[in-house]
Amino acid sequence: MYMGKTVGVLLLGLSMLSGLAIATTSYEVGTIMAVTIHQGGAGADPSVASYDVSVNIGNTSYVVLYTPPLGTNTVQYVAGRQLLVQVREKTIAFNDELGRTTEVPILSRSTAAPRATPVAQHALAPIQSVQLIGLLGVKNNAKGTLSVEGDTLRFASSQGSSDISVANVEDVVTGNDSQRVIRGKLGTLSMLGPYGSGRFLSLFRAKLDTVTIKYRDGQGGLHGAVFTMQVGQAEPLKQELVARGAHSSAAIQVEASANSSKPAVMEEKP
Amino acid sequence: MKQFCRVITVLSFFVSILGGSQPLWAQQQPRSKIKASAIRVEMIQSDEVSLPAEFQVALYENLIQQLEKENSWHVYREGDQNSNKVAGLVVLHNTVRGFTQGSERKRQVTTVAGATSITVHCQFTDSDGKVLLERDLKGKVRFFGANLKATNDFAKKAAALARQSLSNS
Repeated sequence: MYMGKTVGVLLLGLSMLSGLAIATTSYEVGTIMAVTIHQGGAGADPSVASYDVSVNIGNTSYVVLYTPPLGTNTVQYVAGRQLLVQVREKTIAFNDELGRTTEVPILSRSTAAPRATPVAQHALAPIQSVQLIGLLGVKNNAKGTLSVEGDTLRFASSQGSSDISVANVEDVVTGNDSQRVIRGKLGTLSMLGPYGSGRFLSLFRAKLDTVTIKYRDGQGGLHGAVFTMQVGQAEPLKQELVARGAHSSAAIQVEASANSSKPAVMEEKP
Repeated sequence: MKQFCRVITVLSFFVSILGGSQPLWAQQQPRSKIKASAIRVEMIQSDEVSLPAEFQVALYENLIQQLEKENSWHVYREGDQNSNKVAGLVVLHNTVRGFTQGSERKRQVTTVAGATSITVHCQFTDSDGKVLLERDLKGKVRFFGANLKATNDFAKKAAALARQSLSNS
């Protein structure tokens, strides 16, 4: 009889402990790395959009299936955002702005790649560049400095500055170009030089790097901007941006081009 | 008398040419303008043609700048949520059909070689996707300027097409 009571108390204690363990599974900080449209199976409803959301939690990367409430598609623009999540056996739970708990199924889990090399974590020195087109509040062909400060890409010129949140950068592509060494008004006048000297001077050109970015504003509107800078400065800038959460189609395409005979320009197409 | 007959013949010949060409000229004019309170510009697509990213972005941004200069419509960008509920919205889709990247150096040295040209198929649709107007436009830079100047040339032509074909009233 005494034995039975002891076993009963022990079982009760164990069940309480296990319940407590479930209840106290703590929330962790997760970082949304990417959002892509979910390719549904044969039975999927094409009218309902679902998204594969990649979330890094600690050293693990999860892909979860998220179906937003009808009429909303803001999930497409949340890459880079951090939120508190609770990892469960087959689902991940999180609370929305109104405090409602939402549970989404885990599609896959894997070990997360290291976030960035130590070199990339160093703050990049401001880069002298020319903004050819695209930045709000800055005139075309404005000279200035381009820098990454915190999670912001900043272009500062004498006419003003413009900030872009790195998390809103959808694509960063680098390229190259060249420009006449003697340019501007002097360059135009030099074209009138006698005996074809202007044309001869046109042969002297300086190489340039270009950085093209696409980003979204607060309303989801797509913007693009093109910068030129000295040779060798575009790639570190791109690495810095990607390390801080920007997306780049070209980074994926470098691997693809190794297995493909298509020209490199084709691969850079976003 | 013979001289008079010659003059009459020549005159009637010119009159017949002018008369014949007038209907053709009239056909090229848009019959009635399309009503549009706002335009949403979609990102330039280049599925068929390999187009560098800087050209794609420059085409898109120049097009928006030129349309905004018209001051006739509110111009929305692709993905702008505010455009979803606008009545009389016209959506401008652009697909690159041809691209020849020239060389600024060749242009400056030879004058005749090294032109950059971009051919873009412009399609104006309503918010339901019904095609209202479509046209192929070409942007070129032949003599002076960087290759990207071709994107501005295209944008000016596209804005002119919108001015001729769309009405905000």
